Amino acid sequence: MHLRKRPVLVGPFDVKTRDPLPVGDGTVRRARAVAEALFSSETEAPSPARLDWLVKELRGFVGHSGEDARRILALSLFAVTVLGPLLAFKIGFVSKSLSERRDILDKVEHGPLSTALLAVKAVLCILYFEHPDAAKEIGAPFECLVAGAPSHAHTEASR
Amino acid sequence: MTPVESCRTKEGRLEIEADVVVVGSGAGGAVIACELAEAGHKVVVLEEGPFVPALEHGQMRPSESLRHVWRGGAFTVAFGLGDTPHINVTMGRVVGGSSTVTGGVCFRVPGQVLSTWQRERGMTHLTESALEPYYASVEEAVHVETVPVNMRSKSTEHFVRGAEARGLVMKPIARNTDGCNGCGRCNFGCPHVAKMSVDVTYLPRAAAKGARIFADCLVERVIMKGDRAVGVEGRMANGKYGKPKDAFVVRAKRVVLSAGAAYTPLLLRRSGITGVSNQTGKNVTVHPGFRMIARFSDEVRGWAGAMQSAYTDSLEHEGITLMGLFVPPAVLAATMPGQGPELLRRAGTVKNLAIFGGIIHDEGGGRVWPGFGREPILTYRMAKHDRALIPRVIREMGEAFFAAGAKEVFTPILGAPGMDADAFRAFPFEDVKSRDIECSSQHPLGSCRMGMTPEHSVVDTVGKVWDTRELYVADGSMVPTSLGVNPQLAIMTLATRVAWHLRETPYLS
Ligand SMILES: Cc1cc2nc3c(=O)[nH]c(=O)nc-3n(C[C@H](O)[C@H](O)[C@H](O)COP(=O)(O)OP(=O)(O)OC[C@H]3O[C@@H](n4cnc5c(N)ncnc54)[C@H](O)[C@@H]3O)c2cc1C
Ligand code: SF4
Repeated sequence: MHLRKRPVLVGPFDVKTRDPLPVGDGTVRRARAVAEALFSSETEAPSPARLDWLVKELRGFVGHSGEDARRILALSLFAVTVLGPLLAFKIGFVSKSLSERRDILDKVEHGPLSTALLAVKAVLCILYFEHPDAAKEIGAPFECLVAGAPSHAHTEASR
Repeated sequence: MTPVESCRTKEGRLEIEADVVVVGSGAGGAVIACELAEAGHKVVVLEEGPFVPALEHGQMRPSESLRHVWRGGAFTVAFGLGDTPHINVTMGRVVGGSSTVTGGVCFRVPGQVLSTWQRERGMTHLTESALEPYYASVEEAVHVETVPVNMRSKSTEHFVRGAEARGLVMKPIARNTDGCNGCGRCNFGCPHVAKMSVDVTYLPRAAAKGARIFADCLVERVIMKGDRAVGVEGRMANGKYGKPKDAFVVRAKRVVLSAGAAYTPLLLRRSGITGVSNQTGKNVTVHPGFRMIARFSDEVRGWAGAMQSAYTDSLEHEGITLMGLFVPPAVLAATMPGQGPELLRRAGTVKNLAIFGGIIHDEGGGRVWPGFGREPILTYRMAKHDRALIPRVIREMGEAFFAAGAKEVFTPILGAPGMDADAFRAFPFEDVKSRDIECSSQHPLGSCRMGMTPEHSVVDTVGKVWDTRELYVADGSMVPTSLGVNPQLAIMTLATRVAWHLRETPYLS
């Protein structure tokens, strides 16, 4: 049976315009520093424009995902960027060079804080590779996995 | 067209009367709402999550879906106790519940599981033939059909070839779809409205018969008068940033809790209902799941094709089911080891990657604890036998991929490098610490299990909470044991059984 012959639920679709909970500046600063290292080439961090986009998305993602997600991300970032450097006999993360940061992340990935890094890496990667240019770099187009994917039902219903 | 009301924009205290109030609009709650509304009852459905119209899912990127449709942005964890990995337990939080984000896979309760329920739990009346009318009703409502072989993704084809070469019998999966074009984004809401989740099947039918559905509406407590449930109360998400603010009360002759396995026990406890058995929130099973990623030299583009289309139960005697799946490239990239150039190089190979999953038919050991705020704390202690299966699942999936010609596999061991066949075979998976294993679950079950006596269960086999009146449970929490297969069809079937019982049962005067 086609959708237009079925009764469907209608109601306000406002989730995309709702205000996200604010995300702490410390969390954002740490996340950006991890992202710079995570997505860097041998010598360079990704362009500031792409990182700005990532940070904006991160604020939206974490701010809409609820208090617990916010807490888990903040704690995971704390573990990675404050405790993580200790595993590499270093102190501090944000001010370190890209290669030092990558070293620290590597130590974390192979140490007792690997679950915390998995959480941080998961959010950052999911967001980063949704940027149209980053997506292209890993093989996009991804058909329906982008916003605004064509929908048969949509065209049918609106015909 | 039938409307859903959002409490986000309501002001002041809300008071409603109904025959039946259903808490939660997922697989269990939607069935109850529909069956009872169609039988002429005045039904109100309360859903904590927002409303996303079926036609709009395609307007969201996967990460937007994660933040608006999944609970906690998918950051929901069962903390592993003892020799147990931490488990990423995901759920939906939206009108339609987790049903909206499933891969659509549908299984009846396996015969050997029903036998266990009969033999060990005394539920001798729950036979395949006794359940047949309920299955038939659900399967028609959500249009269960077998995924044709030509809709398999190349990722699945590769695995199937390798698994069959190893002697595993691969079978086609049945899914609740109608008009699926195999675009592979089921977990983020079907943009083609081809997945027959409850938000496009049971809920519209319920609403067409007058059921009122409220989104953004958090139930906090069942209102009890002695041992009798007379309604629920909570707060609407109409505060700043959608925080719960103004109170609402729904007075009803009957209350059905369908908030899912993580939340129904919490509601019972917060309402002071613990039962003589003190089993509420215990016995949680999750089907601990593990993924295996394999790199092939040819392009796989695993996102093209039905997300889940083949499985094998050849290892069920050991407690293992292997199941097709795919995750979006961005999520795949997230699970790749390495940083910087190494990570980017690996992420650049996503079009060459295939993926398959394995779940363990677990003994349980999970528990839902009241948290400090609104959210529960989940813990899970893996049984020794189940823990021993993890390396077995990993080895079997890796070998299947190598038999299909994979160049390299990425195992669910955190930080482990990609491995060729020799490195894979030499890797000491048996010695890996639990905390270094990536584990996920989409199937929390059993936290208010049904049974024959109040001493060993939380509800009876028609979902009535023991030692209460007019208080019922109909969701994944009532499933008494792990199923070893995806549970939505079983949950909807048990909910139908509860609903048909309720529509024949007069209200207490
Ligand atoms: C990503 C994913 C993929 C899956 N794929 C499959 C699959 O392919 N096949 C399959 O069989 N199963 C699958 N499942 C599992 C299946 O979706 C669930 O087992 C099933 O939907 C559970 O039904 P339920 O009624 O118990 O809970 P849910 O469907 O989760 O519904 C519970 C609802 O209650 C709401 N709620 C909770 N607390 C409150 C409260 N206090 N007040 C108001 N509302 C509340 C929640 O927001 C939620 O919407 C998948 C699950 C996930 C997360
Ligand atoms: S594969 Fe695509 S069309 Fe088919 S059910 Fe999933 S999302 Fe819908």
